[in-house]
Amino acid sequence: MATFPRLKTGAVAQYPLTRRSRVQNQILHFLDGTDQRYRDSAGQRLEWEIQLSQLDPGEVADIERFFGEMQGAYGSFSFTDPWDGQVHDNCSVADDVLQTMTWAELLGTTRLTIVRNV
Amino acid sequence: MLVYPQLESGALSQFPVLKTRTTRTVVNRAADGSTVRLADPFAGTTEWLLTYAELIDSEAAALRDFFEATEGSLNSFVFVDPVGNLFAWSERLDHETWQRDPLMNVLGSIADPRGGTATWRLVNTGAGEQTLRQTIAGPGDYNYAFSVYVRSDAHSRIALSISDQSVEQEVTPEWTRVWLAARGVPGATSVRFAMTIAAGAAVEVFGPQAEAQGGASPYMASDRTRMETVFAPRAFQTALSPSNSRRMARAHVTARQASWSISSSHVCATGAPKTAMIASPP
Repeated sequence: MATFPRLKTGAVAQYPLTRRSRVQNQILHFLDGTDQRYRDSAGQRLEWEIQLSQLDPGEVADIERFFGEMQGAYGSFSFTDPWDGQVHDNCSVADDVLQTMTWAELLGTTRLTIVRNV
Repeated sequence: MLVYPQLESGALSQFPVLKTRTTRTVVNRAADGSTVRLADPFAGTTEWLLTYAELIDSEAAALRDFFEATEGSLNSFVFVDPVGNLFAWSERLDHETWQRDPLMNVLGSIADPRGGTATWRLVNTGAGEQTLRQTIAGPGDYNYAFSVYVRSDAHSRIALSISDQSVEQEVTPEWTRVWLAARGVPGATSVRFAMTIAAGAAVEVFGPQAEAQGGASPYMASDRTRMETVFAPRAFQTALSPSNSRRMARAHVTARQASWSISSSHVCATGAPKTAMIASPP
C-alpha cells in the first residue's frame, strides 16, 4: 500500500496541525423522555489538516507526485498520525484539488486534508 | 504550434508561481459513512497562475504578442511546467522512456545521496562511447538546464548534452552535481538530453533533471512525463506601472489532463508532440 510522503526531516506534517474526529450516531427520543441511541456508521472518521511551508522544490514535487499517483481523492494509502505515531490504513486525500504555491526558490507551500475512510 | 515565450533571462516565469492540480473522483457515500470511489483520469486539469513584474519592453511585448497569437483562449500552444522536472521517470533509468545504446547497462537500487535507493549505475561494456538519453517534446528555442548527480569509484568523465551541445565533466568518488545549460535546436519540436560515458567506464548517477530555464533547481523527482503540450490561457493581462518603465503581466494558464497523459515513450517514438489528438479546451 502507498504511504504518504515524508518531508526531508522525516516529519509527516508541520505546525499548525489540526486533527478532527467525527462520529455518526442516531438518537430516537420517546414520548416519555427517554431515548435510544445507536451508532450509525462503520467507524470513527478521522481527518488531518496538513499545512506545509518552506518546502524545497523536491518536497513539493514529491507531494504533487503522490497526489497524481492517488488520482486525487480516489486512491487510498497508509498515513502515520503525527499526534501519536499510529499508522492508519485506508486513508485518502479529502479533495480533488491540490494547490502548490512557490513563493521563492525554497519557499513552497501547500495544504492537504487527509481522511481515514470508514 | 505556438510556443509560450521565455523571458530574456531564459526563465519561463517569475516567483510566485501558483500551480493547481485538479482531479475528479466520483464518490458514492453510503448511509454508514463508507464510500465507494471511482476515478475519472481524463477529467483532470493543471493550472498555473504566472505573475510577472519588472519586465523590459521586449518581454512585455513578447507576452502581449503571444496572447494575440493565441487569440485569448482560442488557440492551443506548447508550454512546459516551470516548476517541474521535464524528464519522465527520473528515478527509473531502466524505463522505456530512457533510450540507451546497446552496450550501456543500467543497474538500479543503489544508495543515493538523499538516503534512498534511487541511484543507478551506468556501465559501458563496449569498446566505444555509450549513451543514455531521453527526448522530450519541448520547443527547441528554449533555454534548458540539464543536471544530474554523479559519482564513480574510479575517476572518470561523463558528457552531458542538450541536442547538439555538450560538455564533459569530471566524475569523482564524491557525489557531485554536474550540469549543462544550453539552447535546443531553433525551430525543433523536441530536445534530446543525453549522458555519455567512455568505453569501460562505470558511473553512478542520481536525480537527472531537465528544466526550461538557465540554471538548475533543487532536484525534483518525476514519474510520468511533465511536458505539457496543449494549453489555453484563460486570462492574460499586462499593465504598465506608474513609473512607466516597469511592466507587469499576469497569465492564467490551464492544461487538460489528457495532454499530460501522453506517455513520453510515445513522444520519443514519433519525435514530436502528439498535439493533433487533443482539442483546445473550451
